[in-house]
Order: sequence, then structure tokens, then C-alpha cells
Amino acid sequence: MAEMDWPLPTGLDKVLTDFYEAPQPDPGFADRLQRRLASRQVELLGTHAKVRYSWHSISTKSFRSFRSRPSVIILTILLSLLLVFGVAYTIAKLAGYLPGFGFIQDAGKVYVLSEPVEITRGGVMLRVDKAVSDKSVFWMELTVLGLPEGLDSSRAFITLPGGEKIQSLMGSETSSASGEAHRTYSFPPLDGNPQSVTLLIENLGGQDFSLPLTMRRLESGEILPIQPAGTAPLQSNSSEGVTLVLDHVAYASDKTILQVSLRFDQPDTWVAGRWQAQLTGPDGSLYPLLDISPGTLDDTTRIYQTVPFTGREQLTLTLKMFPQGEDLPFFVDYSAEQAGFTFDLGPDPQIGQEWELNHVVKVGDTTLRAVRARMTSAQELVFDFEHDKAVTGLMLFTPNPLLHGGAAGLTLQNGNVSAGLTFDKLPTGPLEVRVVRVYYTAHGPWQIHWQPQPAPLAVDTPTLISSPTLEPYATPTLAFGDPLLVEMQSLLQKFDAPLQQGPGWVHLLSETTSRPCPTGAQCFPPPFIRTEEWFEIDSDGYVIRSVHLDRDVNGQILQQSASVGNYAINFTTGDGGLNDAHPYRLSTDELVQYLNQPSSSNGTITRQDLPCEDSRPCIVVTMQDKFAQPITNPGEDQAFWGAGRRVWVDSQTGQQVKVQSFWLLEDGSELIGFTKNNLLAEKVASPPQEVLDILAKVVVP
Amino acid sequence: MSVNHSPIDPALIERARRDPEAFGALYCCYLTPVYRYLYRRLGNIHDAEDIASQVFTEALEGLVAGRYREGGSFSAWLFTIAAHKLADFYRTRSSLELDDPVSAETGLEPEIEKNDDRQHLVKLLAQLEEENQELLRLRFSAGLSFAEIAMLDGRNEAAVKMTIYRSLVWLREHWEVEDG
Repeated sequence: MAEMDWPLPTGLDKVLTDFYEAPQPDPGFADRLQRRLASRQVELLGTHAKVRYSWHSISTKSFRSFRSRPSVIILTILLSLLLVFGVAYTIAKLAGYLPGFGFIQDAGKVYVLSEPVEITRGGVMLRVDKAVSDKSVFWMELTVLGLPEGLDSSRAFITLPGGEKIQSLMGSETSSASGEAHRTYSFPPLDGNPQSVTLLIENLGGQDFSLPLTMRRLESGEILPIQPAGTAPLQSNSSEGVTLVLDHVAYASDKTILQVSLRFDQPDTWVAGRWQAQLTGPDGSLYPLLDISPGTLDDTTRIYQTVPFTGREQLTLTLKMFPQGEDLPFFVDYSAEQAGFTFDLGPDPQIGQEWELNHVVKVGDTTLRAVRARMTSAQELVFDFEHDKAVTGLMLFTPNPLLHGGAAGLTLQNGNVSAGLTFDKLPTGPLEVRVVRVYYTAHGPWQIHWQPQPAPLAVDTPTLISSPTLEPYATPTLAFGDPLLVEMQSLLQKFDAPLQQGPGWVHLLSETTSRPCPTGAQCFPPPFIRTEEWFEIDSDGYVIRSVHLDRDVNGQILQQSASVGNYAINFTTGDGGLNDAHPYRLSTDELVQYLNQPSSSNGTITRQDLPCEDSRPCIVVTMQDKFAQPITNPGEDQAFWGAGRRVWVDSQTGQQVKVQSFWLLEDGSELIGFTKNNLLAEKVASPPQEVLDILAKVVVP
Repeated sequence: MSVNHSPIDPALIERARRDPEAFGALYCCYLTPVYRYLYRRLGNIHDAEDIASQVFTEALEGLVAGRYREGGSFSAWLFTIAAHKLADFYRTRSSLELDDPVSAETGLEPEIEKNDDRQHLVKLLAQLEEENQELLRLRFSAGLSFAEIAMLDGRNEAAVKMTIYRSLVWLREHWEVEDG
């Protein structure tokens, strides 16, 4: 109010505040999402472990590689495809893969950009490289150069010859360090013949750009035809209403493109997490599946690029989830059914009060029985349900104006599930309770056994090692002469130098304990992980191959990933891809990289000489940041006032022996996030056979 | 109306690229404003949760992949993602839902808003241009600064400030008149 002296009467001020500052997200939802994000980040970082610097999404990579190849090459491949198979396609009936866009079913109704269109104004270059119009979308890909740093607030439109202006529905951008940005825009499908339209981008770097686009019909040589044409898709067994489907396959001389999807027997079904497909051979060889799905696909469909095949491979495509493995959590949205029951709280409900219930709710083919309600606080009601299927959670809703949120419930020890409703203030009297979402877990495996067709031109069997081709990354030099930074850098170099001198293998072993997940068994990281890493170092000291293994307290493998050259694959999730990383020297650093960054205004760094746990003399460096305002996590009793990292460095060997992350609490105490003990760092001539066996299974794209 | 707006430490954003706990801190700061904003746009909890999940997942993947430009406004970047996700959501909705002027276009929830004052406010807000409603949502549900809204909306800061000011003045005048 002070900043503009808002002239609002008290009543309006209050109702506006209440209106706009409600509702709060449900704590259960907030907690689950936070854990899922943490798991996803570990997964992302784990896949890329020790493969450093500027990962770009695979789809970006794919766009670039297509852009860098003249279209005539693709044309040649396709023409030779036609010759090899002796098939003459009629374009009107042709279905296939259009690079960068996806699979299309009726090429005769697809229009593409006649030629790239470019405009430069005020130092900003904008080029439309591709545009595709089919029955579902009008999509385009652009290159932008010279855009000033800062947030982009542009808006894109298509104007039709009649003057109609259509705003983009969605867009995406990836940018490289060189300042070149690649964008995509999707618009609603254009009716009729879209041969002449204009792209209008408003406020791009402070300017408006207008580019006329000429579209033409797609030609036969521009798509990779689906092979074999007209065959039914391969699919897995259907387990608990879920089926994995290999929708389409298109073969080229240098790659194979697959479209894989999930099908559900029940409509309005969604996967509650990120799924992956994994492609393996009978000997355990793990084939690359580079996710090149365009942004126009929904989350039940993926497009992957893999290697060309000889036609002799016996392949298995498997659905994977992380960390659930072959279990698939999903939910069905029943909000349209408005199924539920009426629950009477009475005139004066009390905290702790319980009501025995017997209300049967049928949603889909699941029968639920509400057996109990509890008033757990002044704002929350929790309902327990019996069920006749493998229900793992529910989400409730009530059309009551006091509703604040709904918590998707948990499985109770007796097998029932509970779900809550929170209110601004608990209502009294009858309450209509609806079941809007039911969560299940389907149990795999879902597998498709598949023998691919041979690639249209003779190809060599994929090699297992791709030599790095990028220039090595130079070890960063110190930005300034802070004494602590110089001291820690010197100790790090002392410890790392023998490990970096090649050739040979570096073996690292560590144990990490983390705060347990508040609820639920399917979370990552678990409270204990033993991590083993192997790095092959070449004669120049650069890492050329690596293996990363996470094991649980019983020695069972939780996660396994490997890298060969600039290709990395996570065996557990199926996630894999090429990166733009330069070859790098191995570093055990978990401290200097943080010291070398500019600290925040609220940050402090302290240094103490203290003995380590085994009485070795150590230097303990503690870095902590205080937040601008306290942060309260869902389900936590105390607010977090800051966060930090502490590293114990052996002052004689330079080894960073222990790393700890922590939160600062309001009462001045610390809440430990994780503690990692680095147990071993050794250089050996060769690794165990197990490690070589893992690397032998990596098929490099 | 007051808006709490504390800038996020750039060092925290930088750390969030590779540290799940730092990303967790960002998440905790932004979940409520993102969720509230989405709820006001979508009018129901489960869609707001769905889209919020998508927004934070994309933000996480964008941060890890280096798609967030340092020096920009993290809030504005996050709400740009939210705007894209909302557009995607509306695109995939059936025409019936898209054509519903109350629930989809204004983001007001006819079933929930039964409280008298609230109902009065909802009616007044529905008379504002959608563009002006959106500015109010960005300001008061999302808690964005005028500068951040300006970046999102492609206007200058003064224009945003003035438009919001005029909307509030209009609300005040009609609130008092209709209150009697």
C-alpha cells in the first residue's frame, strides 16, 4: 500500500487480500512435488555425473545436427531408401517421420516452409528455419542471434491474409554460450490452405519483427517413411490397464527413429512421474535412446533416436520409472463424475473428533468405502477409505467456499488410504465430499520384443568408444587471490595431480547419508548410498570413460550410469544423451568451485583447524548463506533461515575427506541435509571385470 | 493491499542448478505464489496442482540445462514458464471448456465464491478487462513487482503501475457505490 498509496477502503482491501492470497498449496501436494523434483534433479545430475559443462537438451542437439546437415543429404538417404525397398509411395498416402517435427500420418495434407526467411534489425537477426502446418498444429523453429541479455518478453503471432491475428500457444527456447538461440512456437492449426502467412514477433529485444512465410506442400523425399508401412504397432502385454506401444519406426542409414507411447484402458489416466523407455539386446547391451520428442507431444508419447541396425538384433524395449523401477504410479481423474457422499460435521465439530462412516463411492471400476473421518486440526478433515483395488492414494474435493486445498492421501498400515481436505475455517453441517482423483500403481514389466529391419544402407556395427573430438577444457585459473581460495586450490591440486596423470583408472569410493524422506518409500536419495566411481584416464590426463554405481546399505544397485566420450547413459532410468562437454580432467573438488564463485551479500565463509574423525589434522571450511527471508518447508516445524556447506580437508594430503550440507534453523541450530564421506581415491592400472562388462554394454550412438 | 516481495539471492539460483537443496529453497519461495496465480487462472485445485508440477519440473530442467539467463529476473522467467503451460493447458482442453467464459477466461470459480463480499468482488473483477484482471493476479496472487510484470507483459513499468492503480481505483469506486 505504501508504494502507491492505494486508496482502498478497509473492507475492499481485506476481501481483495483474502481473494488473491488464497488458497495455499496443500502441504501434502507441496511435499510430494518437492520430493519428486529433488529426485528428478538427482536423476538429471546423476546421469550427467562427471560429464561437465553445458548440457543441452537432446532435442536441441537433434535440431542442431539436422540444421548442420544439408537437406540434400536427408533427401539422398530417402531416395536410396525407396530404391532399396523398391517401394513407390504416393505422397498423399505417405506416413513417416518429419525431422524435428515428429511422425505424421497423412503427408498429403502437410505444408512446410518453402525456404528459410531471415530478417536483421537493430543488431538482432531472426531466421525462420522450419515451419510445418498439419491438422493439429502450426509449428515453427527459428534461430535468433544478437538478442540482448535479459528476460525475453516477446509475443508471437501469425497473421493470415485476411488480417486475422493468432497468438502462439506455446514456445520454447534453448540458447548456447555463443549467444545463438533456437526457438520454437506452436500455434493452433490453420484452417484451409496456409500458403501465405506472416509471423509477427512483438517486443523481441525491444523491437517488432514481421516475416512473411511462404508454405508449400510436403514432398515425398522429406520424410523418413514408416517401415514397414501399414503394419500394426507392436505392443507389450497389458498389465493393470497399461500397455507400452511401439507406434512407429522409421529407418535411415545413420539412425533409427522410434515413437513409443503408453496406452491406458481407462480415459483420463495420467502417469504420476517421468517414465523412460530402455532398449536392450539379449546380452544386456544397452542401446541409446536419445529423446528427440518435440514439445508438441503430450507426456504419454516419446520419440527416440537410436543407432541404425543390421536387422539381426533381437531387441527388448522396456518401460522404466525411477526410482520405482518397473512399477508405474498413475492416477485417473474422475472429477467429471462428481462421485462422492455427504458428510455431516454437526453444529460444533471439535479437534480430535472422529466419525464412523459407511459411504460407498464408485468411481470407474473402483469401489471405495469411506469408513472414518477425523478432525485433525481447526482447518483439516481427514477421511479413511477401504478399497477393492490396489489404490495408493486419493484426492478429494468439496464445492464448499471455505475449501482451502485437498491432500492426495497415503496408504495406511491397515491397507486403507487416507485423504484430507483443508479449509480456511472448518465448515459446520453437511459437506459434500467428492473423489476427484484415484492413484494406483501398476506392476510391470512392460516389454516389447522386437527385431528391427536392416538400415537401408550398409552400416558398420556401432563402436563402443567414440574419441573425444572437442578441444580439451582448460582448468580454470583463480579469479582472485583470496588466501583461503589459494590455500584450498593448492591442496586440491596436490591431491588431484597423481590421479590426473594418465594413463590408468581412478577409483573413488564414498558413502552418503541423507535426511530420510518424510513419508513414502519411493524416494531418492535414500538415507544411505555407497557410491563407487571408475574413470579411465588417457595419456594426456583426460577422462575418456567412466562408470558410476550407487548401492544401498545391502549392496544392491540403486543406480548405474556410464559415459563413453561425450555420450552418457543411465542404465537404471534409460536416460541418455550426447553432451557438448569438452574433454575434462578428473577433479575430486567439492569445495574450491564454490569458493571461486562470488559470494552473496549475506554469505560467510569460515576456516578452522580441527582434527578429522581419525585424528588427522584437517581444515574445516564452512560456507553459509542467510536467506533474505525465512523459508518454511511443508511439514517442517521450523523455518529455514539459511543454508550451507561444510568441507573437511586433510591438511597434509589435500583430500577433501568429508562434505556436509546443512540448513540453518531459526533457533540457531543446524539441520543436516547430507553427509558424504570420501573413503577412497586410488589410481590403478585396470578396473575389475565388472566395470569393463558395464562399459561393454554401452552402445554409443 | 500489500505485497511481500523479496528479491532472491542470485547465488542461491546459481547453486540451485546443481544442488537439490538449493532448488528446494527456491521451490519453497515460489510454490505459493505460482500455485495461487495458477489457481486464480484455472479455478480449481487439481488443475492448479498439475500445472504447478509442470512449471517447477520445467524450471528445474531449464536451470540444470542452463536455459535460465543469469542477470534476468528469476520470478519473471518462472512465470513465463507458467504462462506457456497455461496456454498449453487451454490448447488441450475441449472446446466446451474453452468456450466457458466464466471458468476459463476469467479464472473465477463460480462454485466456490459464495461468500457475500467475495461474490461482490468476483462480480466486479469480472467487469474488468481480462488484461487488467491478469495484471491484478500477477501483482497480488503471484506477488510480482511492477518491473517483473512489465518484463512479462512487454510493457514499461510505469504503464503497468498505472493500469493496476486504475483498476484498483475503479474497484474502489464501484465497491463503495454498490455497498451503498
